[in-house]
Amino acid sequence: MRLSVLRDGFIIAALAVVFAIAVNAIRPDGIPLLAKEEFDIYVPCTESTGEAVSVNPSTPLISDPSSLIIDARSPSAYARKHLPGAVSQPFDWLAEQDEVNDRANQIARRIASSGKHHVVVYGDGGNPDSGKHWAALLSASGIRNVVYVTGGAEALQLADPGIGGAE
Amino acid sequence: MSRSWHAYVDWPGHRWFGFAARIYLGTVFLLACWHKLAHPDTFALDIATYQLLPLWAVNAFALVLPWIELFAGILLIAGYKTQAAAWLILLMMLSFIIALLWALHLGLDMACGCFASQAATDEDPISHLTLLRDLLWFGLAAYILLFDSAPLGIDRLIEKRSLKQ
Repeated sequence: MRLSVLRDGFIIAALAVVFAIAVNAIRPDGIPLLAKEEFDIYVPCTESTGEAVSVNPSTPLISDPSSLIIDARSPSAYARKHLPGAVSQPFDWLAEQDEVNDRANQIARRIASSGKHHVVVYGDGGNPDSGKHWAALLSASGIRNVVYVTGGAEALQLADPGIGGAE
Repeated sequence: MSRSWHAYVDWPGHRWFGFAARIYLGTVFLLACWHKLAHPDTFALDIATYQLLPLWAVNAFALVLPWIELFAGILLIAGYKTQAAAWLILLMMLSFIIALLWALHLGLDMACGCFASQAATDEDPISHLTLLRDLLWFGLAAYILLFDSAPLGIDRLIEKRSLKQ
């Protein structure tokens, strides 16, 4: 490539810089040249790659002793109230994809060594639902018979308040 | 460089293919820059969402890039300083492709911000198709730079005039 092409490109870019700064300086909605405050960016959601099967809150799997119950809500929500025997595994929406996958694999290994036949996950029942995401991730980690409770903790309470269900 | 390579580069048909590629790519860049020029704040947010540039560089990039797109697009269509414009577009496409690869690697669920802010539309989400599209545009810019050495446009008029003199 000729040197003149590089030179012309540099001149065009320099002109663009001058125009950009000048126009930004005179326009009423101009922005600071150097950003100082952090942007309120959209948080990337981790992707669930496995199949998440839903069950009703009244499923007998919840009271089945061969089921492992996972509470995907925050530790504070778990501390307030949870299903008897439920294990707290809060889903971190802010975690990086690799971090979440690693954690899902760790939990999957624990589940595999627990001798349980089913895994029932419940989250906050929101949209997106942390329980559904955990179920999908565990399924993607090779765990079979993973289900999540439709409507999450709130639906569990509605279905059967007597089981000591969620908050 | 071999003789056959020169014959290939000097093929007269390149100017017509190059002309079509220039009009197409120039139009793409003009369409891409208008929203960024009008709303630098939302374009800055798009850039920040990629999480690739340091915070201090985000606004500067958001302010300058659309102007380079505008200048390069106009010059490409007009056929003036065509090679330099193609060179700039090649560099911009390279940076866009790197940003896209980074976003796809992170699994970012976002619009690419190529034509309008993600705050304005959800119809342009990043995907491997976006990457394919950018690679195509990168290829077009490379074609213009390498093969459209006598472009139809102002450059050609200037060259003819200088030859007459």
